[in-house]
Amino acid sequence: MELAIYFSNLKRLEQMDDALRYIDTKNISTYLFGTIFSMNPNLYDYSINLSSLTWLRSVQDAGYDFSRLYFGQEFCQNLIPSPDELEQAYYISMQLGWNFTYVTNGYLTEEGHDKIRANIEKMKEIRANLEIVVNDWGTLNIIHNEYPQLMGHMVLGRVLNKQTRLNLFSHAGQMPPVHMASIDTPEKDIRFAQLNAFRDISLSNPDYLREVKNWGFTSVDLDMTPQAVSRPDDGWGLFLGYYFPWNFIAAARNCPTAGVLEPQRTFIMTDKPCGRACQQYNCSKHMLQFEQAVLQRGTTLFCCSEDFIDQYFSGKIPYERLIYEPYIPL
Amino acid sequence: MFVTFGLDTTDTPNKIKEYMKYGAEEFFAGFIPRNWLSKYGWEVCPNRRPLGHTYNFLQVADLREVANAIHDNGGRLNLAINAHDNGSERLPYLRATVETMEQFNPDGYIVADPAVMFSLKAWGINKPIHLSTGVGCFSSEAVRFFCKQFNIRRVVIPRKLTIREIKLYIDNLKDVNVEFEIMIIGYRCYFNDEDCHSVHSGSRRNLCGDVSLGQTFVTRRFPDNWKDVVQSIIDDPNGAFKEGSLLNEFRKHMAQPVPPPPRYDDDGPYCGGLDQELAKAVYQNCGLCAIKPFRDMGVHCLKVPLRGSSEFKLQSLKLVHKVMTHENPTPEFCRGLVDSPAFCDALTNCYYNVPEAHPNMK
Repeated sequence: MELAIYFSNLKRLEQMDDALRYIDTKNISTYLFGTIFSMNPNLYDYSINLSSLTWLRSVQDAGYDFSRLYFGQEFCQNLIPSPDELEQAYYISMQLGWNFTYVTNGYLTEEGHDKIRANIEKMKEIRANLEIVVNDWGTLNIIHNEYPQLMGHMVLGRVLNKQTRLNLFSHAGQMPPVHMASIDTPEKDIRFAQLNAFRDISLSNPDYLREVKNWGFTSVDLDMTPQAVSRPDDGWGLFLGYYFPWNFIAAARNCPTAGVLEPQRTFIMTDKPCGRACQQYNCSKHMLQFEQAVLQRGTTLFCCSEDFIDQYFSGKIPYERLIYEPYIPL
Repeated sequence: MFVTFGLDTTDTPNKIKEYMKYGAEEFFAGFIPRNWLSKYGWEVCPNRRPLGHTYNFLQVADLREVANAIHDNGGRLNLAINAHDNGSERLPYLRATVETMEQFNPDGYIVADPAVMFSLKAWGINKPIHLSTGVGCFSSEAVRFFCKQFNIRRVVIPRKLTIREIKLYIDNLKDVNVEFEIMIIGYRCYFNDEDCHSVHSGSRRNLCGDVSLGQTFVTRRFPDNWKDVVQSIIDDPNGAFKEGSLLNEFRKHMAQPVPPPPRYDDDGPYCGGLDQELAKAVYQNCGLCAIKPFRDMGVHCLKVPLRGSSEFKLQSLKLVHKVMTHENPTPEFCRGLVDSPAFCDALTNCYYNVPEAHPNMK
């Protein structure tokens, strides 16, 4: 298995040593712990950084170490790194002797594509040995037409893989609620069929899988979900990566965090430049009704997967790459 | 410009004739056969509207009746099979559903999942495809990608784009033979449809309800040295409480004032009184003021997606028709039709940002 680490911007990447610094919080008394951390969802990603490092240790203790850097922004096109930042990230990965993966955005506009083109051009200019995560159909079209050399080095990103994230409707060991109006089938049979359906993703469609490979994809990235994914013994013939510990449930272009500085951005798109409030404030709903840590960062709702990752860390579910997110990729 | 109008089980041939008087040249609907429902229940739905029996046709006879009424009156019918993710186990059920739908000679299929587009091809179904908003075609390049591979008649442009971005998008597709459809009224989604991986269910409030109703907190981000602070309280628990300690400095940083949390409902509950509340109940989100710029830039079709909102559908359609057919439907004209200043003043009710409609907004 390959171990990758994911940073969405250069500032976070430059703080990598600190991000990976393990502190055993068992040694902190509860009252002192509460002076730093709290139930405020805006603070979850810090405490989960510490707990996720415990899980990471178990992987490293099994003999795996980082050999790949994931770098780039998946969810907000206002935060796409500049060509210079991408170049610096690339050289940092080279210095570490790691492979490099450029993570591109989901659902880009015309202007977003201009930024992606500039970044790929920069990578071409420095003759970077590049793998690219594709999260947008338009980006795939651009690669096919303008950068065909990237085919065979592409990952079908988690934004384009529409696996159902069941986190909001279930927690470890519990089934989601079902609406039984007008249905005669026993509820347990419906639950069973639904869960199997949620495990069975579009990649299992042979007509689609063939085209995914023809398009130049050799890998696929997914999120860890409680129900997991049904993957055939041949692994679809694709290299599979899982993100940990943050999976995303939903994303938007309207952004409540941007709304901290400019309220209308909470619900509507504007043409004005974004004030990037997300680099200064965390802004999330408090949703205690969910068992897992569910919180919003920027445009995107995330969920911590720690409550249901045993099956992914015990070897029960095979995969080829673990993509560690020390912080929510914002 | 014409309207494509969502049908549900409350619609009858007579109602369809009435809708057609108001610019609905085209209709769309979903169908869930009984054997699908018995196997998967509502939540695993072929079209993301699993909220109960009024949203989808369940009986072949009912669908046949509306399909005949539409075609007999010169209209068109497109069927929605726009679930985002469709595993192989469901394909035989989906194929049977499509083969049943084919009996009614639909004019096209609204599809979100590229895997289903390939399946339709493999099943020999060559009807035109409408790229659902669930595909997430935010750019001309994305549309070109699908046009290269499938018989694409139309793209439903995602709702979370600005009017300027949509114009740029359409201008960049002048050489491609594709129609543009815009959603114009009704519920707008808190997140982007195409990027929402939750499950709709009639058994509980949906994810977007949880999120939009939750209390919002704004907090400063932790300072970069937060791990030093954690380490310091391990190293010297008593010293942490002294003036000048890292913990003290940390707490001072976090205690600095922050801006108030933004509100999704803009003015809060009860603001605007019944004036706003009534219009909100009928229209939910409204893009009437954007119809003129969309018409000017060459949008072909306005989507009125009100499946399941039977009591308000006709009123919304009439409004859209009035604006669509008016020579110069200014924001003032549109506001006059809605007749609820409080509703129109609250930008959160808008589908699209039309600055001229809110001249006092900074």
